[in-house]
Amino acid sequence: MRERPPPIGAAEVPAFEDFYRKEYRAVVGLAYALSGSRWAAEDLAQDAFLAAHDRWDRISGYDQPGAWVRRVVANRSVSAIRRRNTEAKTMARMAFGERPALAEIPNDAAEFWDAVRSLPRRQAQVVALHYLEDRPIAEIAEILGIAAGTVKKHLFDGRQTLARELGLDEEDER
Amino acid sequence: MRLDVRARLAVDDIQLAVDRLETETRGPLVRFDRYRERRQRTKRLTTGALAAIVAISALLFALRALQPHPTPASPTVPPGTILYGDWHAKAQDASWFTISTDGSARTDLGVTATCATWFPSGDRILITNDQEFHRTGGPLRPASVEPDGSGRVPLDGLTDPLLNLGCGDVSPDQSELALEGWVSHASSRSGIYEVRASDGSGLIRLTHGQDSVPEYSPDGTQVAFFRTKTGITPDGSGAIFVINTDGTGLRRLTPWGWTFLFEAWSPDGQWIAFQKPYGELYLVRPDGSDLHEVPLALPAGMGASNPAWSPDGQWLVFTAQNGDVSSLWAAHPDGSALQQMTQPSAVQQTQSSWRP
Repeated sequence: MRERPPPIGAAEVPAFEDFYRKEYRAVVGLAYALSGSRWAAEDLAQDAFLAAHDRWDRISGYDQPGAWVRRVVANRSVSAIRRRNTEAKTMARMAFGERPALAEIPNDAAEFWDAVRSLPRRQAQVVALHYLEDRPIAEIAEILGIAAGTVKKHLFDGRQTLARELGLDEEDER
Repeated sequence: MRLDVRARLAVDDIQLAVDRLETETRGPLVRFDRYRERRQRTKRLTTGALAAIVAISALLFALRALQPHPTPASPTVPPGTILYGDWHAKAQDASWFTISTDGSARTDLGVTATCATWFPSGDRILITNDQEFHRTGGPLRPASVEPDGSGRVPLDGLTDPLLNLGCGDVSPDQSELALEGWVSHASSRSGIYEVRASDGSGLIRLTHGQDSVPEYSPDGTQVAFFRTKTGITPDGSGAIFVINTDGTGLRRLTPWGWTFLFEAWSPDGQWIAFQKPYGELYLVRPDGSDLHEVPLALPAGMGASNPAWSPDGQWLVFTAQNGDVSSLWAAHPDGSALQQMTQPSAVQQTQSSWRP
């Protein structure tokens, strides 16, 4: 069973290095889930961290600096054409000896995330955050800067579509 | 199976992949520092390149003022116009430019597109219509523009609401387009397709596979393209394939793992140039024989990519890249007469093509 992550943004503001270490895995995972490119996922995540680093005086004062980085990644990751472009760019870099970031994932998982990315943009973001980090509705709303009710609606619609597309039972097991 | 169970398995697979990344790369902070250094270097080089361009322009202006009848430099590379793209890391798309082979007359076409290439007549440019894709939410379609980037004509006659049509080429008689096609979440529809060049309708499927960047043979009877698949090394690489335009005669020309994306068919149809990992140009005949490297004595740390042929077949133009800094270079197909055509700029250049 996966351990549930702590709430985003503890009361104590971390140093950037601590913040980065704590959030790195989740943010790269989110970038991969939403971009679908194991070549470009780390670049998307690093770009967001770099943006946070450059503004750390301000970002570190936020209640949820992790939410800020996730929002940057989420907003930059979802687009079929962007994925195609990112891959081409990253493959060009790979051609000169830089290795891809993430290992290949099994076909079943790849098919699941393909289906998530085929959802409308907001639905894909909500569904990815819901599953990847088991975040409650209120935290997803905070990350994406939308109302909790809107998150609920996107999650409901997205899960219905996913279940239909993947031929699965959508009934919540909990 | 329940959706939530399937989702957890998919989440676990992503987390395993990220765990492996951390293990294999001496920890994420090392990678962050490296990424930051690369971005800072890019910024410095951009500033340096701009300063150099200003200084050189001022110097040239002063020299011309002092010499009323200067003798124009005669470039070794024959006169011509190159179309090429600059990737924008943040926007993750390419801006397109034309430039003379002597490095002058760089023109921003004001076009943002994944790919762009000349029509055989040289009087129009085929582009991916990313602008319309972003406006409408898709699917992606081709378009054509004038050589100065104006006069965009969408080639959107295909009514399939799901099939994206991306990078490709115009047939020598300008009647057809060969384009890479894909549908999000339906890999079975990926492949090379043909449509009419007049309006983008009349879809014909040529291949089934993860196929990209098709290019017609000079006689129009064959199409070369890049194919990739899962499980090959290096990741994301692939092989060059050729298929007849009637759908027969599919054959692989290179070993798997020998190429990334763009290939270029020589004007006499005898050779296909391509980029091998890591940063080497190779030639192969359309029957798969005579596979050999183009020996390029590039400065240390530079790699070559995006090959294109001059209309007379005597020159290969390509991107030479060192990290995030690129410039256009040219050489004969045997690697001789290597020369730099443009000043380095702090971008990653993509696909180039020489105006017919």
